[in-house]
Amino acid sequence: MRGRTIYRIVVSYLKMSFRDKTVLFWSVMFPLLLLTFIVFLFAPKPVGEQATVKTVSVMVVPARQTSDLIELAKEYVKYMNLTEFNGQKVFIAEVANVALDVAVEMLRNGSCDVVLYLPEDAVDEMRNFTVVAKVYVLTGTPNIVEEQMNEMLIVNFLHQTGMYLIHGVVDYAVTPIISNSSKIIRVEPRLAESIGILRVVKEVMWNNTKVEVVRVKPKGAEEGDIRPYVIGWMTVSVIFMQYMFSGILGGASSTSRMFEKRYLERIFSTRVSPMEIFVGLLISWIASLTVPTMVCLAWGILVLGAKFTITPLSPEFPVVVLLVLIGAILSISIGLLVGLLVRSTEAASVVANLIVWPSMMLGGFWLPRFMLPEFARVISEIHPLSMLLYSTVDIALYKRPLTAILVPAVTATVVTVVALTLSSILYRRRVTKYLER
Amino acid sequence: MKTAVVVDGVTKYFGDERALDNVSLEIREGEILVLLGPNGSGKTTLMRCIVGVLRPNRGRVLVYGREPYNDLDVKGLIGYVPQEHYLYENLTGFENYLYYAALEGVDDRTALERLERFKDIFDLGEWFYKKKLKTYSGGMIRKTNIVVALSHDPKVFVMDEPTAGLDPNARRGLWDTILKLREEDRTIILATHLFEDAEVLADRVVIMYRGRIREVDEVEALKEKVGYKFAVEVEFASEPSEDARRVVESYDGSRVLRVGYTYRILTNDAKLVERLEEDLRNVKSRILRLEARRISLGDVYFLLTGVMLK
Repeated sequence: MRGRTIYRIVVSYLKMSFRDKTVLFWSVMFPLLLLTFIVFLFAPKPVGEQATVKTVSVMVVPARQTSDLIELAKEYVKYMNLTEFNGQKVFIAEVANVALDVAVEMLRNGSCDVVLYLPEDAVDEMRNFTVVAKVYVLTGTPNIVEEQMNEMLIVNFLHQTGMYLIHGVVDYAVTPIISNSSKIIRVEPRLAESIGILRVVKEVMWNNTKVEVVRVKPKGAEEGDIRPYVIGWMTVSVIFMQYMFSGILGGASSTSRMFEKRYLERIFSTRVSPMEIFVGLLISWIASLTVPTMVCLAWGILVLGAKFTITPLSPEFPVVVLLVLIGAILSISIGLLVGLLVRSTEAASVVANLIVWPSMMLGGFWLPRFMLPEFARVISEIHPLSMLLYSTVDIALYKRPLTAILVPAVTATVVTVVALTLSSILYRRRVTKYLER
Repeated sequence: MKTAVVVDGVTKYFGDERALDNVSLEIREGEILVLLGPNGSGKTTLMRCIVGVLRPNRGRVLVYGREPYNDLDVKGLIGYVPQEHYLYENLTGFENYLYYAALEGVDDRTALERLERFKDIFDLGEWFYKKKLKTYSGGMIRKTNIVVALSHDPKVFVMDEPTAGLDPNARRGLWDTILKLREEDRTIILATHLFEDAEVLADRVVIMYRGRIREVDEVEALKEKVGYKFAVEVEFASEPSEDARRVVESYDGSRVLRVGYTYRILTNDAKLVERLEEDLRNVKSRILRLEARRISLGDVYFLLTGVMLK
């Protein structure tokens, strides 16, 4: 194995790659665009720029167009529109002069989130201090969390309305008793204690809940806003996705194309050995993956504000570099295997796509593992590239001890060694067969 | 004279198809040997065996006494110019040169020193050093392809159809270049289907047909072997009439070949063209061309194989 020859192969292939505008776009521009896109779309808003609270749109439908029922509906709308949480409106309500079935159809079409139906006896029941209403909410949508939020917020509002009604009535009834308490006690001294209780009730009845909300940062983000760490996760994730695109997809296509054209015949008419070419190609591919890795990291940290819990001086840093390097080698080895096993560039591209897209969707690259459905979480946990991604994240973002990543990291490394060895054996065989064409 | 290459009973199959059939040949050091034959005659397969990218099914190839297929050091003695260039379009000619030099195990300094020698022969201008290959003309690519194969100063130079697709001027330029390379005492093996290449360049010609060698000799010796000195060609404007055909085929001691409306009469009679002109004066068919020339390698090839080379 001649070092200088391998060096020249690496330099030449890198020059060829980075002078090709298509390669340049896919290996440098594409990951930057992808990372920026993901961050702007999915990263939490920065501190001071509070995320918008979900606003529930309510359509209040009186059973009849009588003046008292319409008046009641207007009162509901007025108080709903005044309800706020953390300074933001919770409801956008309006009275709808439509029949109930029309309103429900509008709900089903997505014109509103809730239909609040006031039956004919709603005014009479109100006079009896009872809130009567019927709430229509959606169910079976893809967003079950939003469904539950809508239902909870409207039902809670109605319960609160009922409570305020009772409070008002009690306040109204207790006030004259308390103001005439000395006269009453003079007539009936045994009522002194009850009147004392009523006085306390009147004082606290509008404000008898003392709950303090304490907001706690998730682990790994104690030092400040969580956003930079989420962007850190996204940066590492995009780097691994780039390995899939360039390593698996690009590697498979390049390998297959190399055997379709007769470049190798010219190359093997020289003194170079197949293994020198194999090693040269491997190093040049690893080097060409290093460029987008560095560009992504720089873009993530300097432009998008990604943060990690380790620095280049941390003792864990070499481990992170090693894990990322193994990720690059593994993706290239998979690409090589695909390119060597199939017979045409088109087939290589199809097979590689069949590996890359499901891996990205189900392997915890697009979405964090905890957000995946159960079956995908299992796939993510046994996917060697996913093992390497999450080992990297565990060290670089969560500062977990090395023992925590030992099993997945070693497993993925063994898989990488096996894939690389297999691809080198297949490469030698394929070269021999290719030259015999 | 020392033997540079020995091809000893080489047979090569691709699947069931026999591309080379018991081919034997000795190539002398410093000679230009031309493999002449149409596509599919086995020229390229024989060259691929000589440069060591193909292993013969039977027989062996020795370059300076060693088999190139198994011996990377012997490959270092051979320079290969395939018919199509396998150079990288996003690199300059110079970068391609350094790349192939490195594959051959030549360090940059030595490669640069060698390049200085070829600069004038190949007229390597700024284009070679500064411009990417994808901007080159056909002639520039051809030159680069040859220079790249010379980076390791090979003793045996194998060229597959080097003049194919070149215009007449570029072709003559390349002939001069090949003759200059021969002056540097290299053994040159050149495959072509153009008999003019062979006439100009060859010390010896190998006539190949369907994977076999039909004849190996110097150009003049080959011409003598077929027993005719001259060729007279007469081209009719349309299908010649019966009386015209009778005239053309009437001369004793000659051989008549026909392609389309053209007749080629091989003869030893230097004055046959004058007689033919006289005899054809009264026939009904219109004549487009009537000329006499010395017998060519194309005629020899036809007589030996029955295939007309252009």
